[in-house]
Amino acid sequence: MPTNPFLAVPIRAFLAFDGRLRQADPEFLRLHENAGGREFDVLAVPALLSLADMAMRTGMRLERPIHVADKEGDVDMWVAATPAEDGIELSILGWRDRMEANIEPNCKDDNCNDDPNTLMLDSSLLIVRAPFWLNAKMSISLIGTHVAKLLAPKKAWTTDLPLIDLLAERNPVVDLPVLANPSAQLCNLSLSPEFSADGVFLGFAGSLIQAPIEHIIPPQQPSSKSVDVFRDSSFGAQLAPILRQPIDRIIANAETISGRLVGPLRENYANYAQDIANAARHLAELVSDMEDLAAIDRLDFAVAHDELELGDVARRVAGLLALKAADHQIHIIAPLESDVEIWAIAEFRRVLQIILNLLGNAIRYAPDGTQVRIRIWSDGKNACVSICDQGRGIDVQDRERVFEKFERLGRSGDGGSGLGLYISRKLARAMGGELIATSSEEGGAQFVLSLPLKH
Amino acid sequence: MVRTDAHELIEAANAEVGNAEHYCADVLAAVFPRGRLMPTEEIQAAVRTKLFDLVVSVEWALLGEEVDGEAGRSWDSLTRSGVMQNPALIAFALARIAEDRLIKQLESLDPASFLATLPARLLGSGLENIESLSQQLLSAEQSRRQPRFMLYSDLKPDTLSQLIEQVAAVLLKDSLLGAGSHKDSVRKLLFAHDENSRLASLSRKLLFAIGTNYEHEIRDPRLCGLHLFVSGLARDFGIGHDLALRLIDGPSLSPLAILLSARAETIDTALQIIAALRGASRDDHALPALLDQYPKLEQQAAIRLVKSWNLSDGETG
Repeated sequence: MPTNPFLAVPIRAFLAFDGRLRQADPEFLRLHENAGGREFDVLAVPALLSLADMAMRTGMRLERPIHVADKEGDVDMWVAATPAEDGIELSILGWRDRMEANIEPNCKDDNCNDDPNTLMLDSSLLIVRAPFWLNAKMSISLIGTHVAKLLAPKKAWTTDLPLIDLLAERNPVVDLPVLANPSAQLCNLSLSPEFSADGVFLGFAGSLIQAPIEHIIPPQQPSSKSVDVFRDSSFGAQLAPILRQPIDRIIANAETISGRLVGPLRENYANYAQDIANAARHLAELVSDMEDLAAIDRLDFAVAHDELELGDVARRVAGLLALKAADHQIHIIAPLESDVEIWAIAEFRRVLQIILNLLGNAIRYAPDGTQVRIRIWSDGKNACVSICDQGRGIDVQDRERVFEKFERLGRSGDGGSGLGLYISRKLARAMGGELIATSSEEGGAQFVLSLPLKH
Repeated sequence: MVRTDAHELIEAANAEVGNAEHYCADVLAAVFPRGRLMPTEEIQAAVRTKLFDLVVSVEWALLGEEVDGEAGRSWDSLTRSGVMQNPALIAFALARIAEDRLIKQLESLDPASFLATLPARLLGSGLENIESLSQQLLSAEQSRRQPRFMLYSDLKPDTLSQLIEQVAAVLLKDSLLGAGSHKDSVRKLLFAHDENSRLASLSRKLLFAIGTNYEHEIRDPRLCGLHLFVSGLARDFGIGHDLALRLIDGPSLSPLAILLSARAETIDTALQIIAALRGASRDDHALPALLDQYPKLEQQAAIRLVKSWNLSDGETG
């Protein structure tokens, strides 16, 4: 049975037409003061002020759900704004602690139970449902991942068959010790094959249970008492999704304010809100960098070996950044479709990420009105792509330093984190390639990414 | 050359055709500025009809019985002056068209099923507020079937006050409203308007009242009815009620599929909801792609996408 969030006696306040609080019930005043307001100041709770403003402008009685960040936590309220002769009456009619939207990862299976250890695989051994405790450790959803990426055999096998072969036999597996990524946690795997009524193999269902704590394999890193949070992969993996949600909220709210979606706002306040949104976007990029950093520093970090055409990747990146370049009147010259194709063996999305980073840097640091050129070629062994700009270039002594973590070469306030090139080089090397900085023929900076050539 | 009545007639017809074409072009530009799908003639005609009904409902509210025989008197002036090309009005009309179609579709499943929907069940909840809100929601849903339904009452406050002022100005110019009474009529109408009469507000208020107690029902339009279902989406993803209606009933199945994926619905449940809302055969051509792609959709990616729709639409009401 639901509890009634509506109050027997509404909490009221009365605002003058200029938004100043003229009279308020103690609970309303507390909200106002918690938001930084003082008695008889302009109401300091923006969502309530905005509702009052709209009621004043339209002359109508309005009722809305309002979400307010209070000192003790977020609150969902139902508020009415009633225009009067000399101001606006605000009445909080209902009140409840913030209900988190019911959109957290849910079981996609109608028949699933609440067992936090449930593991389900489809007929291709792709994960359909992962244990809750494991999902919580990962920064990305495991749904659709091949089980081989999640589980590795423990050395002391009770069987000689590798895990995948074992599963391919479609026989039940009971309490098999395995190591579960991302932290090589020792677990016991139990799976039973599932078949449809007409005998078609559907996949596996069972459980992946964490072994008692004393059995957890110690990390294979050299022990050190100082904790480098960026090296602790689980830190990044766990923190990134937690940070991303509030940052996304900040961006969304700031965009709403700057877009004047809830009513008119002075130009300078709209601009401040845009600054907030931009700053939050920068923060979101930092979180993504941190997540990448956590991923590539993991011992088990692996890349896929796709066959990709560098010209195609370059053209895609140029397309993605065309608008940003146009803002700076920078002309991107990318390989043409009619040019010779250069095929490499590397992970498509990682190469895309590296070239996006390099081209993004070129656009950010090259003078407005110049050209940035992307070229591709093969030296017989490697497939290469270079991005060169017409900026002031990078001094010889800085060409290695620029790949160090958090190295900004003295720059600040331009939205960079100092992690992009570090991550890009790590990714290039993980794919069997290299990323170097040189200078272009015109004296600007040139970055050359080489990758294994597809023969 | 001597001008005849026929010349006058041809000239007037040409002007009318020109106006109609310009109007449609303006509608396209206003409603679908970033769209890749051109609206069909059927949609354009339906938008025009809905906007006409909207104007008539405001006239009724301003003039009362006097409007009979003069219904739609202000329509021509309003369209010529560009008032009816206000994107907010066109978006409103499109949402109402979507709403009509979705309600019709849901009722076609079982015409008496509304008796078993959540608002009807909550009438016996024993909680005064919730019973009263359920009653109001059911009444508001029923009142839309009345021939003189006050369509304008579902407009958002800003748009409503602008439209009322504009209709009143035209009626004043045409001497249908007296110079002295015109301001009073507008003020009275605005003052009498209660946002609680908006279906979107009522269903959102009921949802606020019941909290998270009926989440299973709220996720299924067959169990909770169209408006609570849409309010649930609006609450979960911060998107506007009208935008949610348009997304559900849009020409493409994709937005609804992504909304359902953002809620982590299984493919089976998603298919049932899609069939309930859009009919069994409307998306036949898209189903193979849906069956292939839906399981691959990441819930978090779907949530991010849905939230970006809200930012690009700008509708928060």
